[in-house]
Amino acid sequence: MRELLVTLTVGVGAGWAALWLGVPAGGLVGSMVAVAALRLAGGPVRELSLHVRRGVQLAVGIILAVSATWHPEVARRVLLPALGLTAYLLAVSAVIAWGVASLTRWPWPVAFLSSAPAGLTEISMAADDMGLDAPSIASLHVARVITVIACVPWLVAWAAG
Amino acid sequence: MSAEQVLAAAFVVAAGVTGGLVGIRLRLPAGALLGGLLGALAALSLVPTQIPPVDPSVRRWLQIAVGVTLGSRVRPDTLPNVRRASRAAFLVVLAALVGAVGGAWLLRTLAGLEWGTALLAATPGGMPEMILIALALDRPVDLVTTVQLVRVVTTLLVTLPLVRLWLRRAEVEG
Repeated sequence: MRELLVTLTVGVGAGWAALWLGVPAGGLVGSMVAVAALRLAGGPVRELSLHVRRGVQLAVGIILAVSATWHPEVARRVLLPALGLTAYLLAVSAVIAWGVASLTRWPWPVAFLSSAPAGLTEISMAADDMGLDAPSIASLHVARVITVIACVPWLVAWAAG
Repeated sequence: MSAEQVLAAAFVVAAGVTGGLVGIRLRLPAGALLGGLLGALAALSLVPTQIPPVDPSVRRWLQIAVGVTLGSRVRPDTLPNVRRASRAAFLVVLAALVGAVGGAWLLRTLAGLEWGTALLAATPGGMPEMILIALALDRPVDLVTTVQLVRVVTTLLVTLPLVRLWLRRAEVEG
């Protein structure tokens, strides 16, 4: 119970502080960085269960539906560019997989799944099913996701001038 | 808020929850989010009345909730794994960021998106988080969601069968 209270207090406090400081998407970035740092420092952090994560995702989905404007023609407009983007990201990740395999001497499937441009949860679970080194794969995905989430709001704010 | 609006909002939430549960059951990527989104959108298209806008503070609380759940997943054993493979981790992170900028340029050229939206759509971060950031930064969420969804689904459809095939072939040869 104490761990949960500390986790929520630190996350909420850091999230609001980051929002108050004007950090882009500060609620997300501030709470994520603070809770992750506390956990890595050995602090009393409770990992929130899969049910809680799904509950939060569900809330995000519903809020998205009612908050955003949805134009049906968007899918048609961006489908081909999105497939082109995915092909490009997969090509980049194949090159990176070669680099990861050379640097770590991991077998190719582990290196390939570690550098795939998606699916922290899905790829880690599938790797576990296939008997591959899921913790190493998940660790690289966590490093990617955390860094990207911490950096991209700044880049977007910068791009907007 | 009128009684009719309250009923409509309750209907949208119930449809969203049902959609989310179906999404989880079907094991869709980010199934709760996608199912909830599709369920709520379907309900919205059916209700005759306008739903009142969501208070901006709700979005901020959601950002914090996603941040806490994500931060709490960084396990202490992540750091030794990343440290052990630090150069590989650096390479993966660098590729994600450089890849995102290249991808944003591609989307800008092919679909005419402006830089910020293209970057959010092209970045291989977590799909729910990128969508939530788009919402927080007042970017067109429908564009970002569509591109992110195509990326995640296509990547999973390509990478997992490829690796399975490779493992099967290695087993046969070994």
